[in-house]
Amino acid sequence: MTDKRWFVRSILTIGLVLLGLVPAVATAQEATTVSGQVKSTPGGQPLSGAIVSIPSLRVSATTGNDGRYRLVLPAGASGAVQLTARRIGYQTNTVPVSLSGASVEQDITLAEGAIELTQVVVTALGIEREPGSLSYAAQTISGGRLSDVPTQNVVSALGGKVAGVQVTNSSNPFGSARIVVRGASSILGQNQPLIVVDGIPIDNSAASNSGYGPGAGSSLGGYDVGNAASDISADNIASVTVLKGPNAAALYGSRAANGAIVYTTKSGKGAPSQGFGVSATFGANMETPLRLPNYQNRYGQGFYGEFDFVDGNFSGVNDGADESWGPRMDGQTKGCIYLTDSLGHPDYAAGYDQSHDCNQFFGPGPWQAHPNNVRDFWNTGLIINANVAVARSSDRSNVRLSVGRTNESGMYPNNTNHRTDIALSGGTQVSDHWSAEASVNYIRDGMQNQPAQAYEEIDPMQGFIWFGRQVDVSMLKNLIYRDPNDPLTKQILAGTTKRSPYLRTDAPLPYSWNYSYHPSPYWMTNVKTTDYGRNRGLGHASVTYKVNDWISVTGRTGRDWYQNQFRANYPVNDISPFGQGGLLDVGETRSETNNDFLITANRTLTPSLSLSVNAGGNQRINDFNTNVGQVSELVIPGVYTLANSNGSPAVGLFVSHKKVNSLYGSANFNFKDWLNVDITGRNDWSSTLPKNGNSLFYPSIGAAFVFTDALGMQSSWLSYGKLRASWTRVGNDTDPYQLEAVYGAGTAWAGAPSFTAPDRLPNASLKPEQTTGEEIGADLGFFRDKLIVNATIYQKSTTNQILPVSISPATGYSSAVVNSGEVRNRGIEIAATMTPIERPDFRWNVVVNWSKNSNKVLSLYGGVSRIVVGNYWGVNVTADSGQPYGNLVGYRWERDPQGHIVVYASGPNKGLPIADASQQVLGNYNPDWVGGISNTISYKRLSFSFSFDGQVGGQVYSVTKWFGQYSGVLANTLAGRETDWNSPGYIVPNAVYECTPVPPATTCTGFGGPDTSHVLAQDYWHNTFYAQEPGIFDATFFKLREARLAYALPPSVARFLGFSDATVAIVGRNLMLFAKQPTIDPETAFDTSNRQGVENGQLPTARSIGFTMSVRP
Amino acid sequence: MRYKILSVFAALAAISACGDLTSINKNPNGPLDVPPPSILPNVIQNIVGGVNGVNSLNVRGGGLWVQYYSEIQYRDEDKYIVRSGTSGGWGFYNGILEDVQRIISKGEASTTPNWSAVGRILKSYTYSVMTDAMGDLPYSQALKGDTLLAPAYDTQQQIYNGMFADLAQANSEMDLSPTAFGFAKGDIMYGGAMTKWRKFANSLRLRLAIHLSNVDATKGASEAAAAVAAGVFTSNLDNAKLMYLATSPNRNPIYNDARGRDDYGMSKTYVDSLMSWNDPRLPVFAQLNADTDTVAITYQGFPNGLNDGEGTDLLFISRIGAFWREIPNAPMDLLTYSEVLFLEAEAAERGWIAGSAATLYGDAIRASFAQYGITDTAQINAYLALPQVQYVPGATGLARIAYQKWVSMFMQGAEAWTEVRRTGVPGLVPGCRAVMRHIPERLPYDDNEAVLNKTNLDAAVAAQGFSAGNDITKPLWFTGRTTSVTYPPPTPCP
Repeated sequence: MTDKRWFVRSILTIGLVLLGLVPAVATAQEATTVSGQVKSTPGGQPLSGAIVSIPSLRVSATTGNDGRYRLVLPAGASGAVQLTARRIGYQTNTVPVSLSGASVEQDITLAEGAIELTQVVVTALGIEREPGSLSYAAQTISGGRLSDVPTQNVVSALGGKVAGVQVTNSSNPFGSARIVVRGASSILGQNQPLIVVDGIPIDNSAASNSGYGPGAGSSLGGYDVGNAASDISADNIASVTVLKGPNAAALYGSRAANGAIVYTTKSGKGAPSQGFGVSATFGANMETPLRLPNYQNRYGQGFYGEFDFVDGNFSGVNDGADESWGPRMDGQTKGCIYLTDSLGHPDYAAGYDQSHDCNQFFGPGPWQAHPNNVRDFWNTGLIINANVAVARSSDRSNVRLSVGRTNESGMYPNNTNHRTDIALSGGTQVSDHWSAEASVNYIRDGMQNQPAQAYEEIDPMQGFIWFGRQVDVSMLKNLIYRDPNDPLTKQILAGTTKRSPYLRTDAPLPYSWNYSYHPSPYWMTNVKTTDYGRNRGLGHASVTYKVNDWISVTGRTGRDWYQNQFRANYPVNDISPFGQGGLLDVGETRSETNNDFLITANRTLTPSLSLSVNAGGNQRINDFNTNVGQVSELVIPGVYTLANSNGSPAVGLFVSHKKVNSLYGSANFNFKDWLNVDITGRNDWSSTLPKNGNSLFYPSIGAAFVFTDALGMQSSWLSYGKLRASWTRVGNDTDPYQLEAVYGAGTAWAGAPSFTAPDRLPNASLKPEQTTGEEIGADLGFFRDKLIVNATIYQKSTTNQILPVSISPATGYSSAVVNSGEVRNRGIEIAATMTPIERPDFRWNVVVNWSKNSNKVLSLYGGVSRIVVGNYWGVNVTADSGQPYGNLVGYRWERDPQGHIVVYASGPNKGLPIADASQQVLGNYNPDWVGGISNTISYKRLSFSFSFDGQVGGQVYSVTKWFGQYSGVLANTLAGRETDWNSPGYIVPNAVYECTPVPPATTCTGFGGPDTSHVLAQDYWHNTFYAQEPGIFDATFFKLREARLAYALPPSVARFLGFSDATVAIVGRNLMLFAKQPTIDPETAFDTSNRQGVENGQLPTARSIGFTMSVRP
Repeated sequence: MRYKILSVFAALAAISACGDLTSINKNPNGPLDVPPPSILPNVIQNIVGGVNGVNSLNVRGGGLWVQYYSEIQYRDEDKYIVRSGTSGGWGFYNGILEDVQRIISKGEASTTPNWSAVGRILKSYTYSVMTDAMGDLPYSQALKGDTLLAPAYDTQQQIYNGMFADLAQANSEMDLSPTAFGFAKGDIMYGGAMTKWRKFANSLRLRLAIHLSNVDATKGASEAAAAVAAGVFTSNLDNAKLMYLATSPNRNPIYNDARGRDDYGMSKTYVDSLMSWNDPRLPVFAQLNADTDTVAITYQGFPNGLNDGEGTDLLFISRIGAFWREIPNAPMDLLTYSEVLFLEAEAAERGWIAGSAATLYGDAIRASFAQYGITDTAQINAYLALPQVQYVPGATGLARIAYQKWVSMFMQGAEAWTEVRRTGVPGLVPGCRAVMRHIPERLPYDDNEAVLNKTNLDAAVAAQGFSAGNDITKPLWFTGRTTSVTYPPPTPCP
């Protein structure tokens, strides 16, 4: 790596030498000035931070806190010029100014922006740039687009709004969202972009649903407490820029490979200097399930058409079954089991025993469907959020304080979530040379009795997949425990004395429909409680010393710190996971500290060439520690302490530390505003890499050419045209402690510890992953910018992947850390903004984002052709050499050469499909393309906006579907039992019999004839367990994601109400779903890891409808 | 001023570049090295739980296929459909054998022969279970992850030779002096009693010698004689077993599983057999079925290999005995005195060692009774007096030894399955819905081996004549057979 160091040194040296030379070429001329104030419209607030320029004269200035700017022009400048003002969140405005040698006063107003593609862009390290000067793709949207329709997660709010970005939401409003820009490039490493807030990288890890709960660490799943970036309040965001590829993010070095999301928060700049500028928003939204599985309502609980409840645990006839292959539900009160023959076997010919009651969990009663029994379980949720901000500024200082609060009573009964957010920021100009700014943000999240998504009883939908369709859920709502004196209670307790789940009599017995697998869902919501809290502090402080009018030095420190505390109480008689009661308590502390400095110099070298140089350094420290205590059997019911554990409680501690030092620099040459050349370089030294190989250099170079300006090509239809190209090489580093392996904890014996050899073979000579990115693009404005198109074609290729690859356990290890493998992503992304209609009081604006990424795993480790990224219920999510990343691999049904399904030709399984001998690729989770379209129509004070987004292509392995078929609860399992549970039976469509040799031959020559054998529906659907193919479906979907109808009250009405202006709106999110299959919402993030495309027990996505109000007194 | 800035910059650059980063990356979450006494407890628990727990070698495989148990819910393995992910203990490589190998190496490096001896015994025990379940395995090239990522497979015969050598060495290198450095508290099986470890080594060597009866009687005879001469178990106090504890996480795996699941009942084959011979061990091995008005309380097994929902209601099925299912601190056996006596009886019958096969056979049955606390002499004598129990020399005697061993090895499904495959006794008829008409001959290799070590796997599969790594139909080398005894399906199914 030492050979790379000369390069960074050279760049830095060149930059510094240039800086030193620049004063020599500065000329002293007598000047005239253009000055004035930039204000917003409507409202007339002064706007600070706006960039005002006269492009033809290549002068620019930034407005101060009072919104004022001052441009100094070379003497002799005269004639008509265009004066342009731009600011994030506003539409650029240009006014003509006539110069005559005298000073000119010219105010400019800026309208709040709807056109997003022309705004000032915040680039890496917080450097603001004109979009025309960028050599790479970056897209900025204003904070309003994130907060107009309330969302609890600023990451999910980006979905469909930025080309090239794929956001996968979890269904829980407080849950996680996974975001990937331009496709996954790291096989087993991080694929989500870096998240930066006001220049400070923040943590976005997600305990997600494999982090907490009994499935922690295994693949079962658990509680989703949200990705960490969701703590940032959308109400506080001024704008967000997506730096789409490694090219845009190159200055972030070892974290740039996946792009970066750069949030800029609102500040007090531009706030009034008299009194306080106050703004407030309020929203209230109702939530209902967008989609629940499509259940059947003809057959109830049981097997082979029989059900009789004794103890719900197989003491009766199939009464432990959690499947719906039982008797047809005709409302009968008697005759749910068959008469028996002399051997005690059901005598189907003799028919049902009409003298025997249809005994159920509540006693005898009618055997009837409750079609809405799952829907009825879910409450209408209510989310209320409020945010109040006050801000004040003077000519030298500004301050802003905002307080936000969100309360949710969730759709899951007894679930409440809340978030409190307090943000304080301020800046001051201490002297002409010194200025300082700082911000602190405290966030407190709390989630009580959250539902989980898992193959476990903590997921309510799990109990509705393995379910009796006759169960009247409302009966369970009213009674949490069985009456101890009820004879049925005694029967349940007596009947289970010899078998699991060994219900304990020293604790109350839950009132449930089943005692073999499932507790009552209402018992879970009320008794099996969880409590999650997150305390987070985010802050930064910086001091800038302005050496002269073109060079300044900034020192900055920033820290993101948070603590998670999770507690789950598992009561006695819980059935699963801890039948004897238990406790799980997890505490986690995570922090990221960044100390950095930046030297910025901007200098006009010649009238047509200007240079800006940035050079800086950074030290990053990541700390993590966690402690876990778990009790899996309580001695005294109801006491949830570690001391109340029968046997030693399981406890664990884990700490990790990481440090990265960096130096970086960039230079931007601007020639006549139509040619920009960017060079950047960064060197990282990482603690996670071997001492002799821990230095890594990351360069980039790019150019942007505004050909319309350079060649004078502007015309009535082509108003603006730019071509850009860039190349970069960046990295992706790794976790601590990969270089050597330590012994792990084995199972202690009688409290004495025991150790076990590590399972992962370490690698003492690890290198970082390297991503090389190239992109070319064009930004085009047509019809006086009524149509703006940004298009980019990119390729990024990641090599030296850090892979904990699986190796043959016969080596003594199950995995090894290696540097190997290459993944290539190629794609195209298009963002377009159109204003088809623009009249004084009527405006229609359309934003379209579309992207297509194609991904290929070019090579893997050694001779390995497949790496398993993750697995779930028989499906492996894999990286297969020569194929797209993210294959879903499992068993298919055997086919004959013509593609017919092959079934058994004889024996007890005759007519049932046969699984293939080996696993095959069943699909891939990556979509063919993703896109979104938003429309905003405004008429006078009324505006209506709505957006659709979604994906075409991609597959999901849905365990909900797979097991919902097995258990007979889904509507399609009526196939084969249209008449009764055993008739007419199921014939596999277009199937052929397997090949059977005809004696005396011992080999066969072909497949048998068409399958005509009826099999029982239950046998057919149970047989689907042997292949995962029946659980795969096409994930194509579109959602009416957001709709908003807003009305700005007339000033007279607003004033009458005591406000200076007020807007009310009706809003909706996730309003409609269009999908190819009927069972789940295909937009599914089971967790935020690379194991995508699998689903189980999906919690219903919330469809929310409500109103919002925002006012300014 | 510019120079000040430059000097600050240079200083910061120096700090950035030269900070000591390497020390930050020292993992504080575990030791880089630990002594064998701290490794052994986890190893023993993993072996006992791995071989005799609710998994493919015992309750969910081998023990199911010798028809001790039957699956009463999710009846896949009972129909010989082996769910994907199942193997004959492939996870033992990184879960047990890597640890054991380190114990051996540390013993050799520190000249602590008792460490390496115990390591060799447990290594051989583990490999023997694996090879008897799967066939050829990576052995001589295994456990060398630092240098060899794709180990080749050794034949079962080579593995047997390696195990005999290791057990002989363990026997000879052991230091029995009272001051010898051993395991002290880490030895949760024998409490550091090296004399018992030595008997365990020789008893295991005897078991493996007998396994060769069909394929290499010469080697079997010499190994058996050497083992017995070196000293094998002499009472139930010598049994290699783990006495589980009453509290979590050290409870016996059958008890643990039954707290959350109810997937296994007693097999009709086994219950009917013990009931008809009035075996006093039946109340230990099985529980009575449930109390109802319609069916008498009794020991009732459930037929193997039916579809889900078929057959009698679950209520009427006897579950595994309270001895394991209801008592958390029940022992689980690796090798018992009773088995050693059966092995000696067979060796004597074959003329491999001196002694009376009939006496050893009778003692073996008595030891089995004693092991379960059955001391009623009248009851024991009545059982021994049964004409079908009494010893008859010759082939009948070998069959009776095999049958009695099958009866006595309840809850040691892996070894019972090995012996049924070797002796063909008892002749077990596959269940009605079973997908093949003979009991499985082996368990699959690990699925992932086809991806991770394909060349070597393919060679081993071809050499043994399997159709694939998960072919369970082909007899293994030690059985001495090339075909299986097949049984026609019973008609009709229930």
